Amino acid sequence: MTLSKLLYLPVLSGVIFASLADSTCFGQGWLDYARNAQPKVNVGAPNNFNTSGGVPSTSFPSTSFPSTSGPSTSAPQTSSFSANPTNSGMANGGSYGVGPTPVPNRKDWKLGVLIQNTDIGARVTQVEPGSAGQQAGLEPNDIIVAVGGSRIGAYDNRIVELAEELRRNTDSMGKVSLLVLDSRQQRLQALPVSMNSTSSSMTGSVMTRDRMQLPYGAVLTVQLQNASKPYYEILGGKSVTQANSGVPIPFELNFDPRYIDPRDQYQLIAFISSGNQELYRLSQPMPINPNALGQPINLMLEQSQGGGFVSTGSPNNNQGNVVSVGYPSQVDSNAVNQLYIKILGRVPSAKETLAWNSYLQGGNSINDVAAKLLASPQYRDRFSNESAYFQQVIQLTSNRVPSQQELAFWLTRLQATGSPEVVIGEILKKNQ
Amino acid sequence: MLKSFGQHTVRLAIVAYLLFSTAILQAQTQTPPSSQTETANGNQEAAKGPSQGALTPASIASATQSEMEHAALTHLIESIEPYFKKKEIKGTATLTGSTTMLALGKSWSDRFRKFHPEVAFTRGVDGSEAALKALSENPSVIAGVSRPLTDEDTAMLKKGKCKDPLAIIVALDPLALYVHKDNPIAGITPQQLESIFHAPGGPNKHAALWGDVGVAGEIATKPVRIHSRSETSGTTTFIKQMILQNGEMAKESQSHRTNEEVCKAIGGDLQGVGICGFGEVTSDVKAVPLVLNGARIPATEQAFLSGQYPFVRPLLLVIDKSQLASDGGLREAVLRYILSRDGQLEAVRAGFFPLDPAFIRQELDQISGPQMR
Repeated sequence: MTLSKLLYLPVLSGVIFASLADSTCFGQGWLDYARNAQPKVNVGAPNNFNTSGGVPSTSFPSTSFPSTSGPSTSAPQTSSFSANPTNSGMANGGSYGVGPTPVPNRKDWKLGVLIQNTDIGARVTQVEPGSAGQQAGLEPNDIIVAVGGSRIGAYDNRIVELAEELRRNTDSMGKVSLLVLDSRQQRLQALPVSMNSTSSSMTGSVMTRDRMQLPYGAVLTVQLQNASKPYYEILGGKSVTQANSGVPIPFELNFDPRYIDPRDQYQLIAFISSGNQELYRLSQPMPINPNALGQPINLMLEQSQGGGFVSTGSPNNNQGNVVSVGYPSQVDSNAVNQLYIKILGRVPSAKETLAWNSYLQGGNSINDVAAKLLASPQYRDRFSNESAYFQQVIQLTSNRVPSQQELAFWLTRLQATGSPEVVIGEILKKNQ
Repeated sequence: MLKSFGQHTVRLAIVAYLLFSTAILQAQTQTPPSSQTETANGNQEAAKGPSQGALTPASIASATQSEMEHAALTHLIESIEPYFKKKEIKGTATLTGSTTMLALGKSWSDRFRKFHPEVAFTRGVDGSEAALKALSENPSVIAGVSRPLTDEDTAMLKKGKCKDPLAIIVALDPLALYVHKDNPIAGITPQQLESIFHAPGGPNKHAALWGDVGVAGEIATKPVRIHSRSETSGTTTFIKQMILQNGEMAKESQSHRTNEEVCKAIGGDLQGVGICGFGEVTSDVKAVPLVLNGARIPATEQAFLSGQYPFVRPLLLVIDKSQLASDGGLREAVLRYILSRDGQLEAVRAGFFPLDPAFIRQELDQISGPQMR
């Protein structure tokens, strides 16, 4: 970005705003807008697909498709597609067992500004009195161009979000350097800021009973859960860290206190896993009051039983409809795979596996998963009529051919409820 | 911490770990049977998973690849905030829309009701067009539309009672061109794509034969046979709007009831072609890579999630923004739930793709007012 271009910013930003405001899903602007919505997941390995020169432009530059305006100026996105078609992602979930992966659990740093994304950066529209942003000297119409060296804003069909870059680049004391286009002086300035975190911190350490050496790649998962409402996930409530330096393993959870309801019960779970095999676990979830965190919490983990393990509270039960809270299970992963194969004739993709594991951990059973798959449009669409559909469902789930009366009954149920999910649920219940 | 080891060392360490752990896991786990992958050229041999115990360089590479994908996906999901329950809500919301959106809407509403048991959902009319019409007559409904809105749509809504239409993208449905698995086509440019589906008289010369889109061999002199959905389906409307620029669809297309049937038909027709969403893949068809600026982009999940594969159909919910304040926060909460971690995972479970977290934040700003950073 040249200096001369920066000088035109006041004029440009007005124009950019207008176009960004109009560029919703309406009319021709949709393509660029929809591309903004698309994830930009960096898979890590070097780019190894066929390119004639660098990374392909993200615009669709033909006569047929609306093209993005202006040249692509982003740094190349590294991404990876196997040149050889191989098993994608979780297809081999059983063999190589990909389990929890370390994700940094960072504090929530607040600058205290309202912004609007432009292609120059995040334009400040309001500064909260007394906030870190105000103390650093930010004013409305300043444009934050970069955070800790990372450019932010809306450019190249993507939005790089200020809040996310603040989380990533701020140090443990709350300090980061912003690059700001000062609205009054019309020049770029480096602006150091010192922020406060709005998250609550829970720290502690984890020990294993037998203190054996942990394999390379072992990770420790600690999670704060709402025991009263397993589906109510807490922002920042989970920490997954490398565990191969040996015990004790320190942990830190930086969770959002707004998610804590004083009327609910909370618990802490912890386990050490390698791939999707659990090695150690906190044998009983620890009841905890997230509003009364005093001393650091020390957890003692026991060696896990066998190759998989049972969910809390229900011995040897992963096929039934007992709610399993908390611990992910290797058995669950395989069960989901088997269901996909049985019902949809394929293994789940990587994202589907993640999504169903999360569903199971949120207090649903494997039967619930079966019901959803059987009721999905993907499955239903295979049948030319509802009768054939129900016939197959009953054959698949109870190994017998239903009678005409039975089919007629389920058809009337479908008419009455208008919901295949409800009817499938009834069928499955009846099978038990 | 990993960075200090150097990438090369890390890869070696991962390989060593895999060699070690495979020995343990071999006895315990069962490899699923041949899987169907969403690969670009549907190479049948490569579609088999690594056989039990076989540690070929390709299988190690794919395992490392799968770990990295898993890590990247986890990071994506964890970057989307979980639903935050601001307050108790009661009332009735009406969801109306295309079959796709209705099914998704049902899943969302069931999950939403766990947080807000006093909310009821009623189902409105079927179909994207009918839903928009319903919204123009009753600005309190939520219209599910499985294609982008046009200027005409906006005008129609504003002329009716929906004074401030706000379209929120809630999930993504990437699309690909599918052909029979034995069709030798290696890639397709946007112009070629348009030339297949557009009736003669469009901007590009209509491709009547496979040779017209650069395919060589026996098939070059054979006519292209299009398999499509009906005129009223969201997919067809999308193709007409976005690929044909509202031009005419080629007449020689065979219409089918569902995407499944389209794929099945292509699988049985060597000269067949059609556009479907990812995940409709059967072993008889393959997705054709898109060629943009000389680069070939495969129609795979990875290519889409990294932002490289550009052909995507957004799924929208349309509401009247000026009405948001009038229902005790119900529609705002519903939209916030759909854009939350669980809402997005629910879309994944239904076979669609989640949104970019930064984009979600921008949409939340539009729905709930600008949020403090």
